[in-house]
Amino acid sequence: MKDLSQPSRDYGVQQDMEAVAALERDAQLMLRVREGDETCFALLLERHRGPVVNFLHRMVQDRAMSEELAQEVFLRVYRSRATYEPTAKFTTWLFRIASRLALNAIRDNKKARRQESLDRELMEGVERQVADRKPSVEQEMIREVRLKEVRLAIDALPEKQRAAVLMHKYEGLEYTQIAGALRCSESAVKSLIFRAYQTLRLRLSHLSPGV
Amino acid sequence: MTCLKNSRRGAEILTDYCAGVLDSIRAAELETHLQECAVCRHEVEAQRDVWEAMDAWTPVQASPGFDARLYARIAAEDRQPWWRRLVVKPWLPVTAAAAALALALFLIPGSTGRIQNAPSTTVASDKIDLQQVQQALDDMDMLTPVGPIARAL
Repeated sequence: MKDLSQPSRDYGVQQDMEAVAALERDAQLMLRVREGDETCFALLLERHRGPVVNFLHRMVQDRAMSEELAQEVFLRVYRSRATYEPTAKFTTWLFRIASRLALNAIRDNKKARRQESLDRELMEGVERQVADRKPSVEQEMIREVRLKEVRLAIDALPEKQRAAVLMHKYEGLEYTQIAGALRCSESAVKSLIFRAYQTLRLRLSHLSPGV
Repeated sequence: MTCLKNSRRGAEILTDYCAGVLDSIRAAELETHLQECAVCRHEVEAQRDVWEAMDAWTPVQASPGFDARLYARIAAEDRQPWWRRLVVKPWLPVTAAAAALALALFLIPGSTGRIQNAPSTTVASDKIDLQQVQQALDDMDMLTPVGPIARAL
């Protein structure tokens, strides 16, 4: 039997090709922004606005703060257009800015405000959901409890583990990209991610369908 | 294959399998193993449950005025004269002050010796946490324009 711990060659080639294509697409857009093409900045914004806002929202768990930080991310991208060099995948660079801003914001303060905001947003989310799709009250309560548990479990993770696992789970970034974003080695990122999932498995085990 | 818990890359295989990014050959081998190993099966189920529970956290949409606010900030920055843009860079005064201090210490005869001999400073420097220093450097790095960061990557 083949050793599973050895990487598959075909899979690696396919991943490399996809990475090169993405690198070229975003880098080309950014290079055109450097030359003064504002439309390309709008395209980059359109492509990456959602992922950046969502990553920041899940990091700081505050809607207003996450939008403010996302604005700062894209402002920094725009400011750097003149000196931009496509030496790394655009997404890596983008999430590096985003994760640094998020980590700084978290360290700065706002724990109390975030908790208030978390509760408020959960309630708002419930109201919206009830109004939009009208699930049963019981279904909605279950969903609310699950969501709150997940958010609290993620919020309780150490900051770097949180950033790494959010980029992995929700943004689909590869280990190398997350390593670039967090400025650490790929093995360190893997360790962060695996420890985070291990913690989440323990903290969320009571949500398992069989329990 | 060996159990996930005993494999050096077990955690990676487990995570990649549940994320759906493990290549088909290795995934098939793992599935064969799962049929005969209850321990690994439990690990996979637990990881899948977490993965699915996390799916409950659906994405949010940026507010409708997001782009307009961003472009307004960009336009406001573009309208500023070049010297004003330099002034608003918060890292500039810090860097200038640090450079001036370093220069003063270097130029004033015996100043470095006095500082090294001052007991309070020595005690304080012993207490500096390396992690704090690294954090401060990282924070300074964030204050610099993002261009050099891109080049560093």
